[in-house]
Amino acid sequence: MTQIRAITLLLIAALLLILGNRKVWIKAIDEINAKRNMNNDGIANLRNTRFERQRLNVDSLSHTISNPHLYIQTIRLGEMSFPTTTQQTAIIEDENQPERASTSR
Amino acid sequence: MKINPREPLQAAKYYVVHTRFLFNCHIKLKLPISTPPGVADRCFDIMADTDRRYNSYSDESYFDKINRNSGCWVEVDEVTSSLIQQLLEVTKATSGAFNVAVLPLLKQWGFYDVKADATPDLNKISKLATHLASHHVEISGNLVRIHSGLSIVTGSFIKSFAVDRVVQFLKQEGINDALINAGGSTIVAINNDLHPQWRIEIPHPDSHEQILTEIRLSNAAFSLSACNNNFIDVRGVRIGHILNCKTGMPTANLQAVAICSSSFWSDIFATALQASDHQPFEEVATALCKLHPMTCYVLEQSWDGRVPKLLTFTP
Repeated sequence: MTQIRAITLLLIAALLLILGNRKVWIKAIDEINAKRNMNNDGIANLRNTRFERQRLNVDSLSHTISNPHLYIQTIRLGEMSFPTTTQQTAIIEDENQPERASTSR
Repeated sequence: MKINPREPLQAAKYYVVHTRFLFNCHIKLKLPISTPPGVADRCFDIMADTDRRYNSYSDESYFDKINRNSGCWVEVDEVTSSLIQQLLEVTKATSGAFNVAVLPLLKQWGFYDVKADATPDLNKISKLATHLASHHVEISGNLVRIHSGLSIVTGSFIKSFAVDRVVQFLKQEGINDALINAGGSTIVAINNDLHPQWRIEIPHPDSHEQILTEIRLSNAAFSLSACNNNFIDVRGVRIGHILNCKTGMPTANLQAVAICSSSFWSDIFATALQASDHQPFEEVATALCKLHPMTCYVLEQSWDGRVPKLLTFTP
């Protein structure tokens, strides 16, 4: 009987310690919220990156993979430099001689 | 020839001829002797720049990128998207006989991988022609996508597009008497009052040595399309390189000439008229002139040997 009374008192004391201490609960809830917000931020950051997931089509017969999604490749040619080409120059007297058309290049 | 520096040079009598090999052909510039030094070099620089940026055979050019990424959207500059837009209009006007994505068909015929005595597979050619008819080059602003398996070939317009840029530069430099001959198939005449026209000799469709007729060109671009100098021999049969993309077969037309204010248009129109052998010539020309006015003729397979008349078509 004495033992039961002691255990009961201990449980009451423990409950009072846990439930009666408001600060412990507030701290615990804040920690949980902080962790949840951190996860949400992580997902948002992932969304903001330049990567995205695309579902690819796999053709098991021809063993090929194709991407049905629109994607864009940007070309930047930059500054040009030209190789020197062979040059022939001649001074001619021209009396309106006819020019010959051809497809022989 | 000797030039006496004591005698004043008459305008448009003496010219300096510059020749360079670009776009797989000889480009000849005939400029008055009074032209400031460096102008010819600048002209060739403009052509080399065009070759580098827009020739489908130049690595890393816009058209090369489009071809290598077939099936995907590729971002290009405004010039490329504008060129493709105009080429698609020509395809529409010729009901598909002219198609800028003709390269796979040309390869199938053996023009880019010549195998001696190889017989083209007509079934594959027919399938390719059907594929070309239903799968066009797609364009959305500065994004271009060509259907997987197709390739754009710029041979029908690239050098004449470069020539147009050179003409624009020469006019800016105040040069009003000059001639540009791009491989013989495109010739542009720039004229002033002292030299009002340039004479152009057009070869006979059967023999390059004979002259069919001579025309006078004044501030205009002339283009010739024919098959007598570019063909493959398949078991003794000559196959010309101008294909009707609608049928997939080499054109039956013998020769086409187009004259426009721009060499880009004259070159495209000459090829388009030459390729359109299954439609009446006037019908095709009427459709094409809505894109740009032109003067032209076509020698069809039934040509009677007479000198053709140039007809002008305006929208």
